[in-house]
Amino acid sequence: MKKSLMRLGVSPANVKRAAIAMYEAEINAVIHGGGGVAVVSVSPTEVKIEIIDQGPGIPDIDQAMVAGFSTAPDTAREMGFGAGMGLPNIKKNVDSLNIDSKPAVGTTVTMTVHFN
Amino acid sequence: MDRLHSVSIIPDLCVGCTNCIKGCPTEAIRVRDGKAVIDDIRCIDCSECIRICPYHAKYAKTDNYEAVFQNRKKLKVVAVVSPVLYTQFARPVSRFAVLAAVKSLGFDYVYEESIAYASYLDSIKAQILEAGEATSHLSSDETMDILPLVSSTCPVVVRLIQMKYRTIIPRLIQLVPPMESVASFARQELEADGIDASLIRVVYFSPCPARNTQKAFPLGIAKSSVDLVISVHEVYSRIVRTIEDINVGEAVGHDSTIRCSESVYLSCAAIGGESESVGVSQFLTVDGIKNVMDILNEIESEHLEGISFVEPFACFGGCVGGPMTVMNRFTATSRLREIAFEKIPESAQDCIDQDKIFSKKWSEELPDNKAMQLSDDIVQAMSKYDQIDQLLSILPGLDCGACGAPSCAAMAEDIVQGRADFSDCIILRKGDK
Repeated sequence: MKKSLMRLGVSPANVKRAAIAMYEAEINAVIHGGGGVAVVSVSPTEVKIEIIDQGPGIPDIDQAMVAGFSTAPDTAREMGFGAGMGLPNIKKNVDSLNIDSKPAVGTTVTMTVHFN
Repeated sequence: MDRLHSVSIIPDLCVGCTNCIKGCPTEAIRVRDGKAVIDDIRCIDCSECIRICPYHAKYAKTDNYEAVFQNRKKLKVVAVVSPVLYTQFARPVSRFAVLAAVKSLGFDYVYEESIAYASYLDSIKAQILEAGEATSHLSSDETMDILPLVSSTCPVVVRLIQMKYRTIIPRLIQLVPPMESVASFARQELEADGIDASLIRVVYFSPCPARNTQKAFPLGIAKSSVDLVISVHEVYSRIVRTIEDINVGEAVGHDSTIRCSESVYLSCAAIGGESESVGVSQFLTVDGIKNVMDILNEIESEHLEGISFVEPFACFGGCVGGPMTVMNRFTATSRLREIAFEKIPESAQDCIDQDKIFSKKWSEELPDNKAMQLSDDIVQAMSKYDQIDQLLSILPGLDCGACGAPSCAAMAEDIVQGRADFSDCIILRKGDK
């Protein structure tokens, strides 16, 4: 995605924001959701990134947004993940963030980065 | 269009074998009509193609040595010497013998490039400490927004960042390169001695073609102070036969036209020299253009935790591994270590002169290099992107290179940009029959 946005002429700062947000959301989907699907759509004014997993869902989204709160298993922490910074870091980098989560059905994280 | 590179092709030697197009990190080479052609904007002078080409059809273009003393008359000719030159000679040929031999070629003044390093390294250290200070109260994630800083010593790396890693530009330690500091310092000194500016010619002895390009298209400064760039191997070949006859003591003793640094600063010509001399503990060194790209990707994705300073060199081994050298980089590195610890002979003590030269920050911003961008207009770029996608589903995906492009993806882009034709794909043509 990073390379694609660069080729489209998106400014480096916006590419960076989108790339960091996408990376964090992917990591979440892998650690908590057992993997998932990424859908990226680009318009001349923004990029929308959806990360969709079919994992257990997030019981308390407000709590998940708190920096440092983490439910990541030890196996993830051993690899350097799971510091509870993912969602806060996404929020910091994107212009809009929507989390749609249902218990036992899955989570869809939708993020948008505006280009100007 | 301006030619922004010094790596060049000798068409007569090129057989169109496509070895080079695969090795080029910026996909700057195509084979057209049986000959390799270099894209003027994409080439960053990394010299991978020079190393790869089995037919020696690539070379690093510099100025002709004949130009150095041409129309000399009242001209004062100054040599600025990369430390790599010393490493080309085996023991016991000392650094001072090399300097004396350079003078005997007819240069009026000889300045070591390394005289800029004391101040250059201090400035690097100051910037790292300042950035470290600014991040001291931040979390490790936030720290990675700022650190590591990246050395701008290797001009190939700067141009790579300018083209493909523009988010890293703010992390570059934006200091005038030592070659330029010394060249402009030499000019100042000579002008202060009453020599007219128009009568000064500064010649740099370079291990790499990127510094030749820097002369015509400087990075971070408005105008280069270097007039000519000659390769280290050219200078080597001109002094190698005479050098053993030189009596060092007589040659450089109390010579006021030679400016030298302390030995230790010579170590910066090899990878790690800069980091170790700067003295920050959390540094990372990386050499080889592909490895450099891996690390730049890591920095861009903010995965490089706990590192304050990155010292990247496009050439393996650092500048001693430059393509315009004679000696292999292993021997050269070994020799460099030795020279960097050498005691300076009593007779040459007067030549040590590195305290009057000060490192400056870039005065110019790095211009955008939009070679990777499909169009200036995002709507048009998106339409081209779609067309490329469609073409990719038709092209065979073998990345065979027979069309002259390094991959089917590059070929698809070339077609959309009007630089290639579908019929160039021999696999598709074969299917037509």
